[in-house]
Amino acid sequence: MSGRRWWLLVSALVSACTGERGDDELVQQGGTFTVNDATAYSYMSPAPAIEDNPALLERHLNGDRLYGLERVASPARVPGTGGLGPLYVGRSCVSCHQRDGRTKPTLFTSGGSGFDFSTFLVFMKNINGEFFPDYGRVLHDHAIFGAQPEGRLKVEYTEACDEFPTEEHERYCLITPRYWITDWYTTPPPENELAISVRVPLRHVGLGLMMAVDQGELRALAATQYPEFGITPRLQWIQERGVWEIGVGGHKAQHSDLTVELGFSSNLGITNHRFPDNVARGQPQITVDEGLEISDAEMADVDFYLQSLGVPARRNAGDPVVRRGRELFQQAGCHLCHAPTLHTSRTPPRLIDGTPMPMLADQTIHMYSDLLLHDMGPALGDQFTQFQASGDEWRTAPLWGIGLQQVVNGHTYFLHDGRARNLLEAIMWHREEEGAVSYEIFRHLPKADRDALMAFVNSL
Amino acid sequence: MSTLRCLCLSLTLVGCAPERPATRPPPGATYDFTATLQHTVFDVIVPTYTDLEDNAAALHGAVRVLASAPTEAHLEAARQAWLSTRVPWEQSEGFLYGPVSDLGLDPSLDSWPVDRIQLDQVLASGLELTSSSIAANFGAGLRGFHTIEYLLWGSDEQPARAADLAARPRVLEYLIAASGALEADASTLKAAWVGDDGYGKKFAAAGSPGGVFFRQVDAVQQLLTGLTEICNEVANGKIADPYKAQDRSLEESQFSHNSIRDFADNLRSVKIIYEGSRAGVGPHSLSAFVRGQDEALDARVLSQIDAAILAIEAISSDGELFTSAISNPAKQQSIESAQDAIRALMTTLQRDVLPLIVS
Repeated sequence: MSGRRWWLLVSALVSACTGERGDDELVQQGGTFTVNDATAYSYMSPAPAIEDNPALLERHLNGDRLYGLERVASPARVPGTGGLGPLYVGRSCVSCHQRDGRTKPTLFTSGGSGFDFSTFLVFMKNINGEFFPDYGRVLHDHAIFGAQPEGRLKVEYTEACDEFPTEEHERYCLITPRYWITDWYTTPPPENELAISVRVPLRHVGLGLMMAVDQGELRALAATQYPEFGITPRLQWIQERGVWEIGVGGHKAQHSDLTVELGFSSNLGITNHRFPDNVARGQPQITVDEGLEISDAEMADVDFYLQSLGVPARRNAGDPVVRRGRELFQQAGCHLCHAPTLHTSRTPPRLIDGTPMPMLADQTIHMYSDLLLHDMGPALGDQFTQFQASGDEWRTAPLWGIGLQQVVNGHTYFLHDGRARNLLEAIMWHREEEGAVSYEIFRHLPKADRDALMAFVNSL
Repeated sequence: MSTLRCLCLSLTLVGCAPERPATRPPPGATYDFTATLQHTVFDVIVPTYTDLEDNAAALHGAVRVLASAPTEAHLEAARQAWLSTRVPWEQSEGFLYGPVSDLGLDPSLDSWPVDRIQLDQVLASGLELTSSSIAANFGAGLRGFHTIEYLLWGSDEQPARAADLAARPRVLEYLIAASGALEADASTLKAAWVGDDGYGKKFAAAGSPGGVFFRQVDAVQQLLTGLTEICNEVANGKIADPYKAQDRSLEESQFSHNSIRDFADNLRSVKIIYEGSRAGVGPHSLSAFVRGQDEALDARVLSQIDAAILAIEAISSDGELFTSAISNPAKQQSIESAQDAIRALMTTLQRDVLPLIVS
């Protein structure tokens, strides 16, 4: 135990003696990055250490500006605003991550691709895991004038309902999506060779802390099996820069950084040093080479912005119902994957430009995820493998900030493709998780206890 | 095992100290803000959006008149209608949360900058131009206030004239379509706030079942944070960006040269939310709450809001546009004074008012 952790423990005990409920309820979810904000701006607030330092705040705000700037087609009349497309998914980071959260999915508002941008990515590859030559790694379903989108996504849902096997016989319904692509700009990939995976955006809560997690802890968690719950977590190993690394970011933990350069390139069509080629390069409809459209310094500022965002503190943690829900969360074994407490590494993590971020080091955090891969079964599976992750495996979603998504983004669509319309549905989609023990425990809880468990999750 | 040992050891070391006095919760934690929220929503926010909807409809009408008879008088009337519609929009920027962001209406209404490259290409094409075709096919950079502004005023190098518009029927068609889309967005925005299932009722019901926020005080913090956000945006973005770069292309309302009025109306947005009324300080307002805790603080906030508005307007008191003032050394002081006045207000709201509401 480090000296600092020892001190924290002593402090916690002092707090317990005086009746304060601080660390006891894990209220300060983001360690020193915790912000006391439960408003629509709660995901956007810089960590206190950033806000109190003018130089860091200035860099944060510059990253914020670049993150939110709606790009236009080049050559732009206003300097620094061009580079959009020619193919794209969104016009700025905010298209998908409104207020650093998850923009309401156009899957529901537009039945698939949106008019201005789409709030999902459609990963595409062939059955051998290769990209199609005339398409990008994701479907670019928007284009600037004069170019054609690669295609448009459509979705239809079928609803199936059931009852809880408890006294109240409460009814619940789940919707299953069926996706297809229309309006292909050229010869579509053969249907029997095409694999797609539709993913909605992740909330940008606590990304810096998440990237800084002590990887030794993740290895230890991956080595711990829970046979009584049928849980066999796995580490994701990925290779993006020529070396094997532990993946932590993305729905399948398929990234080892915050994908700032990849996002600008692949999603907005803005070329940068790491991804200098236009996403549409090689396509018959694109002939212009525009050069690099954003600088390394700007990319690093966006990375800094994301890494310096705060984490909202828990609300109503001391509420008796919420406390009961917390007990039930543990009793049902939810915490075995949605691990309440992790620590960040003692070695400061670095930005993509090498800047060390000492403020992120050695923190005790409560993201409610083990960042590991878990088999969630074929119903949630997408038959889309990524590195070690099979089609049925997904990274445990961090839950911190989840209860504020309604306030921040005005909706409660959850899971990798947003198919769960609320928290109850998200939990009930765990029906094919490996073992399904937690699911069965939850399903058999009296309604008041199910509500308490959800009240706890909503307090995160 | 080792954890247990640590626990025992630390208990021995620390023991239980005598009880410390608990930190006193801020007065906002126990104050009943029900009437404050109710009045702020229904006396300020909803009427502002109603004005936006009405004025947007009038703009759409004025543009149709212009298209039917493109005279200088009709062009001027359409410009005046744009300016009138701009007022409630800018006065709503102190509350840019809820449906305006959840439904993606902020970019649709007010995307910046105008995507002039694509706009020129669309105008040169044979694409159908209707409100619905714009809404269905064109990105936010090709619609909203600034696209309409660009078409009504033109650029400084190439100002729009009625005779030119008469010769460019596609531009007139585009103007009708874009102002129709703006009207539709404004209607959607207002509709989302009103009615039994509207956001206004849910906002005002914060902390109770059906409310948007878990606690009532979160909604009050939302009101306040909306104000500090717009102060920050005006001082450190809208004014600072073109001023620091000495670049007029970074000015927000650069075609109509309406920026000073935009900024002042942004601060009026702060005023009406803080006062809980559009007609002076309301009895159920943030102001009334603050006054009950600290009369001098409330007086300071009220005077700092007015001072910020005056300081912004002082930049153009001699008639000079913000466009040229940013690179006029004689205007340096007044621009920076305006920024300072807004920042002073922002600091008061953050450092002195917010702690009355949340700890």
